[in-house]
Amino acid sequence: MLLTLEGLNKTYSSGFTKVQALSKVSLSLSEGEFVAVQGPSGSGKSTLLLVAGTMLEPDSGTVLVAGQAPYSIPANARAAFRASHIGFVFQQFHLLPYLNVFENVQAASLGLKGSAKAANSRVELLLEQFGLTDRSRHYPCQLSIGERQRCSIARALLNAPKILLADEPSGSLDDSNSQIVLQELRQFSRNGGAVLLVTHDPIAAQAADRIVHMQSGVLSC
Amino acid sequence: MQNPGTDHPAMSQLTVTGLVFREIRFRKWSFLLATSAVAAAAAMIFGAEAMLRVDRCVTERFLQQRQSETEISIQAHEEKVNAAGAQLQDAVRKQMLTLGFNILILPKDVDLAKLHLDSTVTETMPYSYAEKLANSNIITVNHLLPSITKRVRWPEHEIDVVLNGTRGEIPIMHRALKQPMLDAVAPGQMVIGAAIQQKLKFGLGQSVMFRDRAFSISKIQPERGSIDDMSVWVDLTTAQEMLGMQNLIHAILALECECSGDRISEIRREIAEILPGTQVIERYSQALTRAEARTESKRAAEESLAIAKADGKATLERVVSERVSLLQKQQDLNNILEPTVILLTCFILAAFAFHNFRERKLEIGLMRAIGLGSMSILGAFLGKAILVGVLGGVSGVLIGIGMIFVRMINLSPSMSVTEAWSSASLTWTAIWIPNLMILLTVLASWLAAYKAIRQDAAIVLQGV
Repeated sequence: MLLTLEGLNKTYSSGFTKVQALSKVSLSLSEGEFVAVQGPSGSGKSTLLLVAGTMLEPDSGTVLVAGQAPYSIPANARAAFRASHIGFVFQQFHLLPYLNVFENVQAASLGLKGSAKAANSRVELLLEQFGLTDRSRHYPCQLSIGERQRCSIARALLNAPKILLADEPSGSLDDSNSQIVLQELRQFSRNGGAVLLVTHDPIAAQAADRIVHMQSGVLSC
Repeated sequence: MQNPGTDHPAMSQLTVTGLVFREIRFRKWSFLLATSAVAAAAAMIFGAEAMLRVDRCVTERFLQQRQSETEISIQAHEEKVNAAGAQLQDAVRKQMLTLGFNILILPKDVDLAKLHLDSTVTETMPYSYAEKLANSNIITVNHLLPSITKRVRWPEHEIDVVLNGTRGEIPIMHRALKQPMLDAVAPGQMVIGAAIQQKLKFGLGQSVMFRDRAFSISKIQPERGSIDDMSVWVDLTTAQEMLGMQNLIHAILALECECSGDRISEIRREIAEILPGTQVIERYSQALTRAEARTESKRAAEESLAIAKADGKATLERVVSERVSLLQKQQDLNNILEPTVILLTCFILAAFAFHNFRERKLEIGLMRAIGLGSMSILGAFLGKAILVGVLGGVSGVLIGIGMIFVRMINLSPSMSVTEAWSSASLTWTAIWIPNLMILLTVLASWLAAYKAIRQDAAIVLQGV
């Protein structure tokens, strides 16, 4: 298993208000598997994604990524672990506005030690793969929405992660660009990676091998 | 668009430092504003501190200059007073030649009535008295002149005259040699009074016989309106022989010193100790009046000098006091200004840092998502703060130096900026102020940076 989530609980507290974002959530993804988590806004999908992405420690439960328990290692080591094992794709892309396309993709290598030359070669390959070669010196504000999301996926794939976590990746895109993005995710899983897609869009969820539903922090098949 | 390849400019390795510079370039106005705020603060602190110190140096120099000018002025005044005194003394001395002496040392038993009536001294004293007095440490009299004075008949011309035998002054041993007030009459020569000249019609250089002795008229005294007009002066030894008074004298003439208080009593006491059996009488003369005038004049000049010195000192003290007061006011202002500027700078920088943090929240979340450690994120924030501190601090100091330059032109054109810099020891100030600015920017950014690394990236990315 590339990703194992077992009995996860997560509660947000704000003053006297408590929101149960995850309740006894268990889910596993194996190599080459594309799973979509579908549910309405506020159902806990994004929380699930961030917990799985080693960015948000659950109150209880187990998270295993490639057989390792990331929350048992120190924060800085976990950051490096995340950089090498997990790629993120966000609905709002989160590209750094002061870096051009090449640099935005290249930024993913900041969290890892390695050859700059190798990283740069891989950036070039990814830009070519996502049709962004001609836009490599352009800044995010000069790109179309679709190009921004493709750039964001290229960044997520730079370190050749085993798991790709996508949070509403097609939420801001038109149909054409949505299809491109979903195809790329599909392609990633075909190449042996695991994809966890969270979306409220039933059409986007159709691209996955398996769809699970989430309602008020509870996951159901 | 350039095709990416090995020569692509973006191929260089991306580092956290690179992120800092790219972010600065992207938000250049915000960076410039923050740097300008730091530069303004540094310029104010450096300018205020430096100008205060430079003002102190200029003041010290100004005061030294004023003191030196005052001292030179007083010295010149003093020299003028001394020169005027010397001129006066010389003038009095010259006048004394014609005005005569005012102290008369006589044998104790001399009949003063006869002296005043006949100008004849009835008693004698040894000539050695004059030498004894000259060899003593006497201080109350000057210019000793032993003499014989006797009213005698000039048989060749059937008139009575007062014969004065004089040998010129005997130098007083313990005094510096002074120019004699009265020249000696050489043997064979005669000085006559004005009335004798008028009566006998003698001319200068004329040979005359006096009691069977030949003399040549060497000088005719101007009219004095006294017994001197009917007197003749010859060499003392000659007079002693003429009167059968070898080694004897009638009197010693002297000029009193400038003694204060009861002068004659002091003179009498001093002379009585040296020459017992003598008496001292004071003969009032114009010389005494002149001497008193000279003393008074000298006293007035000394008073004027003292007033000038006191005025100079008072002026200096007033200038020092005014400058010290001014500098104190500046110091007081600085004491308020500097902490205020530092606090304001902290506030502005903190505001910039928090604004920056809010603006970059999502970036921070993303950096965490792509695996950047907290130290890298902290470095990105503090690196920018250090850069703001360095650039702002250094440019502020440079602006401050410019301010000193302008101030020096107005304040003291004679003092160069280099000289002022060195005198006011500004090197350390120029070093610690940029460092202070770095410290302030780092401190101000620290909270924002700390908040950034503590921020739960998940929450930021979720937009919760």
